[in-house]
This record gives sequence, C-alpha cells and structure tokens, in this order.
Amino acid sequence: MTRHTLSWRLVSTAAVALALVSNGTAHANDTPGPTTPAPPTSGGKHGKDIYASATYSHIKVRQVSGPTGGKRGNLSSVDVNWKPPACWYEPVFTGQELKDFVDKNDGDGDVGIHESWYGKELWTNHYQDGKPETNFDDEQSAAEGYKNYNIGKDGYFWRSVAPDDSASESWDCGKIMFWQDANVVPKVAHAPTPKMLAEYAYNQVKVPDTEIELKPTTKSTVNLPTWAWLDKGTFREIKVRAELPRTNLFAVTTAKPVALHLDPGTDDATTHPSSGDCTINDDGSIGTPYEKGDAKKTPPCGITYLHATNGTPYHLKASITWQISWEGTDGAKGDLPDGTFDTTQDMNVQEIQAVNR
Amino acid sequence: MARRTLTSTAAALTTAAALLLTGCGGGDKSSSDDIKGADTGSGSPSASASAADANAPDVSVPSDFHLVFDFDAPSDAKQAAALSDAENYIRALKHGIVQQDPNDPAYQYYSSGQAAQYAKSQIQAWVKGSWTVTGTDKYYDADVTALSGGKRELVAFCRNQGKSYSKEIKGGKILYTDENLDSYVKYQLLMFPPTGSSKAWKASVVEVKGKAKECQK
Repeated sequence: MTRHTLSWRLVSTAAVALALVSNGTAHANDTPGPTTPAPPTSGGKHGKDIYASATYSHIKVRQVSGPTGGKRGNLSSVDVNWKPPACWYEPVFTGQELKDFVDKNDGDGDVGIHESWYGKELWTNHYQDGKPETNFDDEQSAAEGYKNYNIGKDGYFWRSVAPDDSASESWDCGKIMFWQDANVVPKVAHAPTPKMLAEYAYNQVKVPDTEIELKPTTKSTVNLPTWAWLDKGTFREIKVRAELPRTNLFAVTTAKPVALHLDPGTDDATTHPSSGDCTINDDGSIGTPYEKGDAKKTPPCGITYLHATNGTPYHLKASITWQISWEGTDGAKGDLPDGTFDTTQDMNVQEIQAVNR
Repeated sequence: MARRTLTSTAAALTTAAALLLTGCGGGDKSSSDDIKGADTGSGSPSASASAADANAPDVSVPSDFHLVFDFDAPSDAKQAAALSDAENYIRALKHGIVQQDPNDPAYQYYSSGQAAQYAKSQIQAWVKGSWTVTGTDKYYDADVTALSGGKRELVAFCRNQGKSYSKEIKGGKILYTDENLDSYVKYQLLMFPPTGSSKAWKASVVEVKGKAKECQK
C-alpha cells in the first residue's frame, strides 16, 4: 500500500499565530497559511508517536496454527462486494495517558479519523476544562467536555480508526475521541465486535502458494492427461487470532482449504473433472498421485492439453478455495465469504510423437 | 499501516511550521491572466443554489482576484447544493481574507466546527502577514459522495494555486511564486444539510492535502 496522503486537518489559531511570529514573512504560492502544506519527506519531531494518528490500529493479529514458511500470499474474497471494516473505535488512552500525550506533543494529533487538533489549547479546552465540541456524525451530536481528562476514573478514551483514510466509508466514524468506562464496549455505531476483528484479520491471513504436483513434471503431451495432485498436509487449516487490547474482544479466524480449481490457460484443453474443480479428499489431500502405468488413465484431477505449445507456454492457474469461519468473545461465531488464492505455473505441451515417459 | 501513520503524523504536524517557511519563489509572472469563466468585478454573485437565500452573506472578492470553479453540477439536487455551498465556503474564506476579518460572517454562514476554525485560522494568518489575495485561483475535478445514505455529503476537489498570489496590503507588492507541486492542493469537505432557518449547507470538517499529485495536470 503506498502512502498517498499527507493530510492537513486543523490548525489551532495559537499554532498559526506562533508559527507566523517565528517566521516572519513567507509565501508559498499564494498562501501564507496552512493551505500550502510543505511536508518533509521524513519524520518531524513527533513522527515516532503512533498514538498521534488515527490510521494506526492497536489490534494485535497473530497466526496461532498452520503453515508459516515458504511463499505465501493474501486471500481474495470470492464475494466481490465484501469489504473489510472501513472504520471503528478503539481504546487509546487512559485519562493520565491522554494528559501526558497532550503535554508531550503540545496537543498535536488526531482526535478522530479526519479530524486532527493542532494546538494544546484545543485539547485542554475540551478534555481538561469541559468545553463541549460537536461530533461530525450524522446527527452532529454534542460531544460533552471532560474535567481534567477524567484522571482517576477507570476507563479509556476511545478514538476512531480507519486503515484507509481515503475510503469515503472512513467518514462513517464521526465521533471525536470519547470516554468509556472500563470493561464495557461503547454502545455506538461502529463499535468493535468479534466479527469486526475477524474481518480485520481476514485481510491478514497468509496462505501458502498453490504449487501443485504435476506428472509429467516438465512437459505435457498432447492428448495425454497431466495428473495434478496435492499431498495431504500440504494444505492445512490456518488460524489467526485478532484481539483488541484493553477490551475482552477477540476473534480466532480459521481458513480451511476446501477445493482446488484448475484453469488450463487455454481453450484447447479439457480438465478432469470437466468443471476444473478438484475436491479435497477426506485426508486433506487433493487428486491422486500419478503412478507408473497411469499414463493413459483419466486422472481424478488433471488436464489434457489438445494442442502443443509453440514456444510460449500455457499458464496453468491453480487456485485454492479457503472456507473462512471465526469464533470470538462470549461464544460469538460466524462465517465470512470464501477466499481464493491463485498460483500460475508455466506448461509446455509437446506433440505426441515426442512422447517419452 | 504503522508506516503510513508515522509519515502522516509527522508531515501533518510539521506542516504548520513548514508551510510558513516556504519561500516566495522568484518568477516574473503576470497576474493578469484572464480565465474564461472567472469571476471578475467586485460584485460577482456567489455561485449558488442559495442565490434565492436572502440571508446569504456577501462573498465577493476584488476584480484583480479571479476565483475559477470549473465544476460539473451533479444531477442530484442535494449533491449540487452541497457542492455549491462548498464553493461558497471557499469564496467566503477568500472574502474574509480580503476583508481582513477573522470573524467575517461569510465563512461562519457556510461552516461550523473544525471547518469554521480552519477558515478563521487561515484568515488570521493572512491578517497577521498583512497580505491579501490576487491572481487566479483555480478549482476543478469536483466529486460529491453521499455518506450515510445522503445525511451528509463528502465534497472533494482539486485546486491549482500556482497563479494565485499574496499581495502586501501596504504598498501593493505582489509576491509571485513559481508553479510547482506545491501549487496543487486537494480538498475534502464534509457538508451537512441546512438546519433551522438557514438555507445553506455547511462544511463541518475540511481536510486539505498539499503537494497533491493527483491534481497535477
């Protein structure tokens, strides 16, 4: 993912005035003010503080079982309409932590996705001295002010998070940072749930490349089937656990390989079975390994090419379908759309007279 | 993700100081390019769906400053109104600079919350420097996205400020700059529909991104 935006959000009057005083006259194109941000290419003095930004999620994701080595990739949902969560809220600061953050950063940071406050006064007014603010949710609801950052109370300030702040859905989390007592998930739209954590994890599940076994291994022969199979144990289910610190929310997402689909990469071929869908056997293997003498038998899983390649190989695409389910906090569970992961292998096909097995 | 975060934060934070340091480029640019469709004359009306709004404030700017909004009006009436008043917000901000009034009623009519504070802070910066606006300021590539089924509209557009200059109020010296990547700015405004007696859509959040490559053309 390329980092594409450097957003300017809000400058407190104090910050602007201060900067002007220290810099005297200056003009960037027409604008002496912040409409002409000239961000540096590398970090500023607060650059290492992840707590300042609402594009950083605290959700911890780790794989708890399944293969970890080798070449791997991400799943694509077979449901093209499925999208990972665009934004949600999560606990970021205790009262004391918020105060420390404001003091340390002079109050520069995100108060929510798409709203940043620059200038300590903005923060102290609202979180220390009780000045009400307005959320930018549908109702433009009131955001009550706080006394002394709620220091001494047991709970957290929750803030919106959006992994991709260029998505218009990321504007759906329109509450500025708000307080929630400990051990309770706030009852607001876009509050995190185990399902949301599972969806978040979905995009981070890494599955192995689909290197299928083929026989003959180097060259196929016109009109003779190429056997395709996967030994048991090659594809095992993968479990990924996502949890949101400072809450009891977690979800374990399981990806289970259920089918292999073969696409020969040319119309001049037949697949076995004809659908190209090879099912997974009870022991987790797919298809049947080739054995000597099988050359003219029809494999349970494979391809017969009908024309030779002419220097340019066919691109055999093997995709594994993964069934996705999850279980989480308080016994919650459900399914997510199947995911697929493709690998393409080059196939050279020779004329029949060159057969040599 | 963490990587994005770091850059984003650093850059945004540093912006406050950095943009003010950006030097005036050299260049002997003429400021008199006349652009088709540009507003001329101090009496130019606002663009607007709110033309019929008797309470709409004056958002006019002097004749040596051309505000060009090259927007296609959305077919949806709400979206057209949201875009029109996003445009008025920009006009109002400029009006406030021309008036040298950080409490100018114009921007307050078209904004609330963070967007109003942003306009105020912008005007304050220009007042502090004793600058006003001149030249040609171009806005284009508008896009309106309904949020929450139309309860809010997200208006995005590009700006090329390469020929928009600041002018010293005392003496009238124009501070020309070169057109470069800094000239291109991307705006996103969160617009809320009119409430109460007001007929105007109001910007409540404005995000401004500098060095916007996607706006370069």
